[in-house]
Amino acid sequence: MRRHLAAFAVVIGLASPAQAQQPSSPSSTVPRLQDVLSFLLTNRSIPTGDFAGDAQAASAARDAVAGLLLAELGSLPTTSPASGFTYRLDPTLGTSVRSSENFGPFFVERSLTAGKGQSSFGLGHTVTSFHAIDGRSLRDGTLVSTASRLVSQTDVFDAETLTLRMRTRSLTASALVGVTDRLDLSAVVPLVSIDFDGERVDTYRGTSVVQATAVASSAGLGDVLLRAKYNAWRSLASGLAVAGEVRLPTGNTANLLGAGEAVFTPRVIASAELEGVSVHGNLGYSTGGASKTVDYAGALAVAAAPRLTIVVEALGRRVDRGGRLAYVTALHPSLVGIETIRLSSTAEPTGRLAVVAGFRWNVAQRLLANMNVVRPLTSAGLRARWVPTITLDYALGH
Amino acid sequence: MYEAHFGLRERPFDLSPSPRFLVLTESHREALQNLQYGIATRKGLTLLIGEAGSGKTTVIRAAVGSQSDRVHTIHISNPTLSLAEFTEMIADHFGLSPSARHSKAVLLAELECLLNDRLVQGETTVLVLDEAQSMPATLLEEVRLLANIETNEQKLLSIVLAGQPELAERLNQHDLRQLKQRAALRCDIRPLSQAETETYVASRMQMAGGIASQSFTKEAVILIHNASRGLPRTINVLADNALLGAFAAGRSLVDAEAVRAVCRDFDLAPGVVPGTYFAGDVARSVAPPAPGVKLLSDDIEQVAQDSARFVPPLEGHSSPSRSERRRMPYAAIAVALASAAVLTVLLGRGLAGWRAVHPASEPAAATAALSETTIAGTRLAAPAPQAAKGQKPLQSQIEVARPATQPTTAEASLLTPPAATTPPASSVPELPAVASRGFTETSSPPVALRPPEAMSESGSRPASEPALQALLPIAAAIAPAPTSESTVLGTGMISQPASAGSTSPADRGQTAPADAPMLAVVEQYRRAFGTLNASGVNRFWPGVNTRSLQRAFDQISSQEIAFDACVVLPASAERASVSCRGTARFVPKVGGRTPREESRNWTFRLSRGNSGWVIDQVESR
Repeated sequence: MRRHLAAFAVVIGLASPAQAQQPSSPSSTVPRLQDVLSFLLTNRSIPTGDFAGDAQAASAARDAVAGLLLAELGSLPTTSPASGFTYRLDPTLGTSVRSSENFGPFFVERSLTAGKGQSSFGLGHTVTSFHAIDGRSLRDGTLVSTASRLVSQTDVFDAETLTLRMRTRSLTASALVGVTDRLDLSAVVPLVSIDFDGERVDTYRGTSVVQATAVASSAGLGDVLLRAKYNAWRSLASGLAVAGEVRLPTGNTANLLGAGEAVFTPRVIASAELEGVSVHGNLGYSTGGASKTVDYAGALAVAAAPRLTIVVEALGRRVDRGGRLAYVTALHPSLVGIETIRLSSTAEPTGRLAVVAGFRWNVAQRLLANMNVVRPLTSAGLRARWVPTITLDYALGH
Repeated sequence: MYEAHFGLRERPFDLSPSPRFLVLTESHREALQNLQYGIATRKGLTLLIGEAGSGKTTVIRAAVGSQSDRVHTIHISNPTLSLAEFTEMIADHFGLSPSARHSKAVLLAELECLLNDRLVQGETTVLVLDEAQSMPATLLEEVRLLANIETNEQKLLSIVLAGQPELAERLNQHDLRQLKQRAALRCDIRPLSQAETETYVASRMQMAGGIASQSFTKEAVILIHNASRGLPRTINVLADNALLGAFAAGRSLVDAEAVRAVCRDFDLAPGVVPGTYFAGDVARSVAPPAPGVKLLSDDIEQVAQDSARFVPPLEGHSSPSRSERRRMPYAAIAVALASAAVLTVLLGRGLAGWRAVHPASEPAAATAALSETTIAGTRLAAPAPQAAKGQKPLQSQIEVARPATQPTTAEASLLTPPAATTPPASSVPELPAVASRGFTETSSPPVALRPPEAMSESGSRPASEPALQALLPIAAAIAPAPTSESTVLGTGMISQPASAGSTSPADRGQTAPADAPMLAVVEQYRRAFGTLNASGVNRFWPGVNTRSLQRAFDQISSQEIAFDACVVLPASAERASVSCRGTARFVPKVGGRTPREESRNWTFRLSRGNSGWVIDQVESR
């Protein structure tokens, strides 16, 4: 047990250098992602007559993109495969059976705890390549950041458009330890790398001129997640649990690696399992951070074979003040009959829904190889077509 | 579960091919020596042919086990592989590089290099391929190539190809003639003859701490031989189940009917038993033997009266074979030497010291035991006098739990002078091969005249006493009240007799007849759970959810349940419960393969239906 706790502490300890990675000084020569994004979003060629308004809109849009990006990076997998390796006595049959016949879902928590002295460690890799934001393409040069048009017309005659290739890669280390039979502690430490490659083009009456290009990247520790889960009631592999989750502001905000504020999420977890098929439901409410969030999720895990679990999940989230991209129109301050359109953001509630499908395969001993893909179903926020994740989990203990 | 009932330390007929229980027949001995020779002298390819269940694997393990640390053995027991899998397996087992897994050229080169290195260091490598009759022709060709690895002087790799007779037939095929030509040695294991079967049963019983003549009638052994056709594995199955059946029926002797019942269960033809060997106990207790009918007990009795004569085996009535006669002088010399050694030791200790070691309170019991030992074949029970003093606390009952059929150490000095007996068990070698040689060379396992002091030193009773004492808290915890009505059954089984009046000491140490069927049901449960056979469970547990149980069994690779102590609590004539304490050891199928052992308590709710006692409910914690 002490060994497991020590290993758990090591994983937590990975978070400690985070402070050293906090925003570098303004004099730093390394461009920060926030600044690069602002640069790409800020109008330079459209004569709007209100640069302050341009900058304000660009800042709002940047914050919205950053917030949406962090929301994507915040979907961290759970680490609860140990229950698939533990055995308990079935009192009515008089023989030992697996605590759960499957290895559980990916992102959805299950009520079953690992058991005292059990622990598991995981290492996952996710690559996400975003192609759209709030339903607008990021890649085809149609995302207008600033434009001018005649008041009576719908078409713009002068527009700045943005092309943005945004890719994230996450290496996620996770650890879980069963403190008691009913209490698990876990930590997830994400190491994130973000790559930007953007281009701003001005198109005036059919003629396009590249105004600016930018390439930037950042890498470092993301926001570390600490979880505690308590199994309040159980019957075989079914049960109810409550969990508390704290997302620590360990990621560098300026480089879009972290939210900059702690977020606390209490969560209720329900699971039911029968003959290798389990369903799980989670309901959580997050406070702190930019906005209050309700997240809800369901999962179906099926033991296709003793060593193979097929998982399907649905992940939903509703953000009170989600920061959705929106266009703001204003009359030109000096040119009569001209209005300016700026990309900005609104704080209206947004909802997101995604499905996850994948498998967990017990390759050998207590080693699990997991693979899943996330497919967003809604257009809100940053969207990738598919988000594949590969994870290796290793469980210790009996 | 029946071990204590028959005075055994352990189960004598387990199916696992343990070299510890190796009983060498003539063909087994020859095969073993050939294998040892082939391995030691790097003979290249050795063939071992024998029917399924004839003991090939046991012999191989014995041969391998007898080699020095400088012999590296690789045993592939399931060679029904594809060529690629076989190559991978060979590469893995020899610890070759990853590239050798995929390239035969690399594999052969690395293997030759490795074997050369080992040769230089004086080490030998043996590749054992079991069940070789199932190997595809392509793999047999690979074996031939492996057998070709050699220096100018000798082979670098010894290969043992073991299989059923079909292997020999396959090697006669034209396309495998090259492989056959490379076979330097060939060993055939024949089924056991009747005499060998008798020796086998007797030896196994003796190794497990029992006495065959007190547990099997002659007729039963002959039936076992006929039904098994002399195949040791089948002999084990039949003998084990016959012991269980006798235990369930509350009988202390396996007779022909018990074996026939097992044969019916296993759909085996028991064959015909010659009438001249109509066996002992039942016939004797009912009526005097008919003219011309010779009782097994007669042999034993006769032997018991002639302590200077080496004990014949169960087939004491039959004439020894030529080879047996040839060996007898050597056996006699060995016996005499061993006896002299024992005598010297005992004299050196002094009789007083000997008695000081063993409590003087036992002579009375010893007398009873003596009388029974002397007439062992007749199975007349003589109650131990001091045990008849009425009700005693539980601990006392445990102390008298030792079946009176087994003499104590103190009895030893009264029974026979050490010098006049066969060697004590301490001089009966414990190493399997040596012990087995003793049996086969003399064809005479010490059935009836195993010296009493030997029983005390290596026998089950004295050894089991501390175990029983250790179980006392468990028994006390399980038993509702440690009253005099509890009866200790063997190693830790406790029964409350059906009626308070049946607490006679003679009953103690044996299963109360009324309880035997209930315990037998529990034993069936233990066995079924040990074999992970859910489909058979509802025979004795009709209400079980077979599907759930099978799902549970499918999650583990193996399971072994051991009951340390059981208490039978009859509720009525139709209902009872049995509480058991013990351990469950299992190997998970998913996750770490380390065996896990857990202490458990079981409560079985039983009821008696038309077909006997069945389990209504099981609670385990």
